[in-house]
Amino acid sequence: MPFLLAGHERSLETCFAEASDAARRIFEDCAYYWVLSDTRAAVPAVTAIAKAQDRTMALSWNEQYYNHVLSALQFLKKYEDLAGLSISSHRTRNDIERIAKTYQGAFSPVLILGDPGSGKEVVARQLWKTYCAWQKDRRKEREEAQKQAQKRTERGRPKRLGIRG
Amino acid sequence: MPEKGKGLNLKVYLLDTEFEKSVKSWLGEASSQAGEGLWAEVIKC
Repeated sequence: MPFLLAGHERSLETCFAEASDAARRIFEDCAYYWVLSDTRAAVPAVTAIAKAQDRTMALSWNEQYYNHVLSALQFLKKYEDLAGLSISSHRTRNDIERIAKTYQGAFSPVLILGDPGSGKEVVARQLWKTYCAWQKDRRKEREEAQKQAQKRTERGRPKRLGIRG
Repeated sequence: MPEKGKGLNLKVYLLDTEFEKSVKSWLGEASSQAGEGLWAEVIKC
């Protein structure tokens, strides 16, 4: 499950410094965790990992940084059929999103490689699901735009006056 | 707060208990922003 480490900067530093090898691997490979402190923590370990992964991890409860967490959790929820919180799982989700939201979308030729049981079929299904959802959203947007245009045209049309010659 | 497994789920490891209030208020804000609701489990370390 995605997690937050919350506490004082010093406690966070100790937590990272005294982490076991397994915990350290999680810190380095998990794409869905954040560090929450009273300042936008300058915990060296977090800063290094964040730089390597190119993401915002150090958050402050004095500022509205929950948007980072919420958007990541919503993204994860969207792909709930795909297990895994690692950086590579996150990349797979991003790839699905990127491919599905193109003109050809799920009809693009895609090569999915992986060991037996790694979830290639799940990825294919998710690609189709994302493409269909995106198409549905686009259709709705188009219909909404058409309705708005129709309303504008009706408003601009001159009213008939009841005068007969 | 939604049920575990529904909506968005998050585990919070609280390293300093003195910050419990601040963290909970942060989670409250986040929860009100999350349309589907946020389920957070706070674990005191």
